[in-house]
Formats: sequence, C-alpha cells, structure tokens
Amino acid sequence: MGLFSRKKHTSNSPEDVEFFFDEHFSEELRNRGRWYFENIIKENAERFQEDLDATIKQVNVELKDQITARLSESVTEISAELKEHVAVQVQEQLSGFASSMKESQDRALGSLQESADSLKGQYEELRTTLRKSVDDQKVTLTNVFEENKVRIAAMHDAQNMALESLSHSVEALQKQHDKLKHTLEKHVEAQQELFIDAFKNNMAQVVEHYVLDALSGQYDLKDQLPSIIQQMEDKKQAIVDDMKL
Amino acid sequence: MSSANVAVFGSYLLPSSVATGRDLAHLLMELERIDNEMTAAAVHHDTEGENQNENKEVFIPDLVHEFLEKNEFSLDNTNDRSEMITQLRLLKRKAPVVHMAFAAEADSSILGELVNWFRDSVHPQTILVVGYQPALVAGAYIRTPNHIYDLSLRSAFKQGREKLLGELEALRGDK
Repeated sequence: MGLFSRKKHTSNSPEDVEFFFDEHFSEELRNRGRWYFENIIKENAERFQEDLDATIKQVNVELKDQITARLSESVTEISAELKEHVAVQVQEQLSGFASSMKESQDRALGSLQESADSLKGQYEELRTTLRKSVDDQKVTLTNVFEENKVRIAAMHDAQNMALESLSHSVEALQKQHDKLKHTLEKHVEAQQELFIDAFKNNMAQVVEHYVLDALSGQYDLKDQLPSIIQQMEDKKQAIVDDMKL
Repeated sequence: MSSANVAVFGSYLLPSSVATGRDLAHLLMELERIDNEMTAAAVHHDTEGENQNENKEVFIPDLVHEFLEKNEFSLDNTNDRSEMITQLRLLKRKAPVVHMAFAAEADSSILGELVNWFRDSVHPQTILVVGYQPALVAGAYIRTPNHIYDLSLRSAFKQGREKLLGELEALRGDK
C-alpha cells in the first residue's frame, strides 16, 4: 500500500489505531483530498469551459444571423431608397437634357434654314452675274476674233516670207559650206605638204644624228689637226681682220 | 740685261707651251714665286753673310726657261724681274684671245701647234681659251671677238642637209 510506503515508524506499536492515523496519514489524506478536489474542480472547469464555449459559439452564431438579417434588411431598404432617388434624379436630368437638346435642334434647324436661304440667294446672284459675264465675254471674244483674223492672215504672209528667206539662207549657207570645204581641203593639203617637209627635214636630222653618233668615237683630234689648220688657212684673212678690229 | 728689255709687253714672245690663258697665269705665278724666293735668298745672304749654305737654288720650271730663252731675259736683276712680272700682268690683260672648242680633250702638243699657227698668222701674242663640246663630233668651233667659225663635222653635215634631202627624195622617186 502506497499510503504507507513512506510512513515513519514511531515508537508506538502497529496494533495502535493511531499508528495508522498519524500526521503522515492525515497529510496523505489531505493531499489525496486536495488532488481529488483539484481533479473535480478541473473537470468541472473543463465542463464549464466546454459549456461556455458552446454557449458562446451558439450566441455568436445567433448574433451573426441576427446581424446579417438586420443588415440585409437595412441594405435592401437603403438600396431601394437609393434606387428611387437616383431614378428620380436621372429622370429629371434626362428630361432637362431632352428639352435643351430639343431647343438646340430647333436653333440649328433655324440657322441651317437661314444659311440655305442665303446660299440660295447668293446662288441666284452668282448665276445672274455669270450669265452676264459669259455674254460679255462672248461679245468680246467675237470682236477679238474678228480683229485677229486680219492679224492671223498677216502672220501667215509673214511666215511664208520667213520660210522663203530661210530657204534663201539655207542656200547661201550651203554655198558657204562648199566654199569652206574647198578652203579646208586646200589647207589640209598645205598642212600635209608641211608635215611631209618637216618629216623630210627631221628624217635628215635623224640620219645626221645616227651618223654623227656612229662617228663620234672614231675621230682622233690629232688626225683632225691638219684639216682644222687647212680650214683656218682658208678663213685666215677674215680671222685676221676680225682680230685687228 | 737692263730693264729696258723687259719694259714693253707688246714685244714679248710667248713659247708654244704657253698656249692658253691658264698657261700664261701659271707662268706669271711661277715668276712671282721665283722672284719672291730669290729676293728672300738675297736678303738672307745680306743678313747672314757668306757663312750661309749657298747651295739653295731656286727651282725654275721648263715653262719659265722657255719663256726666258725665247725673250733673252735673265732673272738675276731684281728690277728686271719686277718689271717683267708687271709687263706680263699687262700682257695677260691685253693679249688677244681666241676661243676654241673641240669634240675631245686637246693635249698640249695640239694646242701648241694651233697657237703657233695663230701667232704666226694672226697675232704673235694670241692666247687660246679651250672648251669641250662632244656634240661637234670632229673639227673645231672657233670664236673670235666678232665672229664665229664653225669648222666642225656637225656643221658640215648641216650644210650637206639639202643634198641629203635630195638623195632621199630621189630614193623615194619624187624627182
């Protein structure tokens, strides 16, 4: 037995009643009682807690339902009232718009009518003016045509004369061309002759050049001396006269 | 020889080795050198006396020898030498000049012959100025103060050009 497991042994014998109901046992009992009481309170508290929770839950649900219902009613009422109010206002505005639109339509129609009338009037004026100017132009053109007829005839005559003179000029040009051609041919022939002469001269120079080039290395000055002196002898008098001067 | 012999440059005779202006200038330069050396030697002799070595002879080139021999001049007299130099300078300025150009370089013997001809035929103191023109090919090109004498082969060809043209035309068959 657990109750007695920690019991302190006193000097009294175990057959005493008080041996069992000592302080320790009392303490044990008290503790048990406390524990049992605590358990009971705990259980009750739990049950109470559960009941309370359930109650609160229920209250919440009912409250929620209540509030939802109330709210729905209010919202319904308010929306209905709002609807009515807005409808009334819209209606009022629409009627206002319609009347002003009608007025502006009437005004526009009126001004359009006025413009059409004025356009009509202007058109009539324009037509009259145009007719008048066309008639005037007709008359003017007829007069001008009559005047120009004579001029045109004169122009034709002038054209014919110009054509004649042109053909004369062409003939003269042709003659000049032939003359020029003849002169040019003569010049070309002369140029040809010149070129041929120049060629001949150059040919002589080319031959000269080659011969001189070939001979240049062959002559010794010593061999040339007698010929040079002979040539100087031939020109002796001229040299002497020149030196005397 | 008295200085009267060397007084007049117009009577100077130039040897054939003095053919060109350069030769004349060379002759003059040599004479001046000789004059200076001889004058210095004389002064030295006067100051140092006869103890000085007298074997120092002045070098006289062939060019000067020929000139002195031809003109019978002597170099012993200082005054004569000075006068000679002065007259030679005048001669160098006044001598008649003939310009000659050749197709090749003319050596001294050729120049000697030419200058002798000029000195015998034209003027005894003629000086040549020599040029080099390869284009002449052969012959000579002479220029006197107022005339030109083209004795070159080139000029001979030029003169014969008409003949050449004629020959060419004959070959062509135009004549």
